[in-house]
Amino acid sequence: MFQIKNSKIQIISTSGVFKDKASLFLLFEFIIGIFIVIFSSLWLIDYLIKGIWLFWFLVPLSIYGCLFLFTFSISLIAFLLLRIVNSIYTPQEGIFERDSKDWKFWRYRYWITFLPLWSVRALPLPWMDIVVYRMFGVKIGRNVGIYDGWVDPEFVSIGDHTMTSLNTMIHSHLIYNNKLFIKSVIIGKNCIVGPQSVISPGTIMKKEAILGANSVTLIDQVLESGLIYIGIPALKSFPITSLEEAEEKLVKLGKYKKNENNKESLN
Amino acid sequence: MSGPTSMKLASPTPVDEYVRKKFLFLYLTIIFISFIPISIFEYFYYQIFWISGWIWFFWLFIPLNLIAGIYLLLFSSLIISKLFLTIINLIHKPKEGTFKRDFKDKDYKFWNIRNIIKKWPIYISGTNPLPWLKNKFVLRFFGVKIGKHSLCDQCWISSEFVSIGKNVICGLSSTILSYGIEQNNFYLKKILIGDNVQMGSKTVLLPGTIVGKNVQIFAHTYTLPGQILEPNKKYKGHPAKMLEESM
Repeated sequence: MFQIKNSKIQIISTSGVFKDKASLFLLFEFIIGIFIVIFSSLWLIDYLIKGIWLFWFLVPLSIYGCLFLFTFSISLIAFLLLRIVNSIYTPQEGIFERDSKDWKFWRYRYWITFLPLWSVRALPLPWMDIVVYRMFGVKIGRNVGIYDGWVDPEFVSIGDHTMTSLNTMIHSHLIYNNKLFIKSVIIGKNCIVGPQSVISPGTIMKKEAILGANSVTLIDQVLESGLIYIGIPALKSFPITSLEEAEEKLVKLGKYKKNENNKESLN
Repeated sequence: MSGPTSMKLASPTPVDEYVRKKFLFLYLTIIFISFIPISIFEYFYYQIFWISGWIWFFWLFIPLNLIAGIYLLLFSSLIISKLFLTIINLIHKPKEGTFKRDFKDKDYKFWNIRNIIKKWPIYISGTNPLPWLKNKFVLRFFGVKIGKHSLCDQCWISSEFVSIGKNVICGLSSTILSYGIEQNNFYLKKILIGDNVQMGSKTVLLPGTIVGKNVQIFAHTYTLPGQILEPNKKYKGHPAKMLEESM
């Protein structure tokens, strides 16, 4: 059926960058967002025209407020647009040709969600992006840390207490030889995704699984709970152990000498 | 689906500290001159709509005014930096090769000066939220050959000694470097990428690599400097090794 599934070779790339009429959604959001900001701060501009000195004290506050208002209004508009687009054609998982309807609507969804996520990531509040992701339909549990990186805004679910590190890429889509492949990514509870790692579509991380730094998962790979996975692709796995247990193992193998004096001095 | 914003995805232009101090004035003049067209534009906008009494139109056209401002800044900075670049290139022509990482070496010094000139327009295009006329346009303006329908807006590409073919997909946050620094040596070597190449996310191409036609590269692979990837094959690993399965 599909070449990628059978062979172990996978090419992971994003391609939302195909510019066409769909990117006019972004312009629409941009223009309406700025209109909302202007009309909400008209009273302040009135102060400026009348020459009230209080204006100069309120300017820094208003700049800060306008930034947040802009992102919130943009994400609300994007949410409404997404609802309309999804009611016309519901998003599906699977393999699609270049000229198919799914490809077209995937691109619409990409350009609708582009600007709000860009502006949210540029803001200095770390938890705002989680709120916006939840608005777009990504399931994110409690107490989750999403650091700066790439997360697809659809077909991704992240459990409670997990952490993704800097510059990780969580893809739920893939482009390969003029074909689009979409499959949902599931990350369980208490997981850790290491920095600079790539999660490809269809991977399932069970609870308390760890993906190490600089590693790439295969399509449809299942990471079992209580194991650390590393490598490109991430096929090597080790059980999670405490530092003391690991030390004892190494001493048994004869590769490591326990330094008693050092330990006492630390205590 | 946002790219990592802490890294603005503008192409890399590192500058040595010595040059940074000495040529700071040049950098600031580029920024200063590039803002002049905007200030003229805003003055006329104010004259036409505010003073003549069309205040509702003043507020109505503000979003379009902002978009026009972004692109005016981009164009003016591009033209000015191109002007300075042509003058600098007339003094010393850029060429490939291995050089000493020292300011007595003219090639290293002028490479730094070129970078400080290109820095401002590249920064503007990298941070622009609108998807039109981004990195690809700027790189083409500075003389990088990029074919039709190739996607390279969301990755780091060096602004000289790179040529990219048609229908190339550069993965998200992949890096294409035509320069390298190794202790006291400094390399500049051309990178050639053929048609229909697909690169995964976070691939790194080091100076001098030649990628053939229809090559497919796994996510997170690094190439050696001067490595040649044969056409119609797949590559993976650190450093990149050919996979046995054919297309």
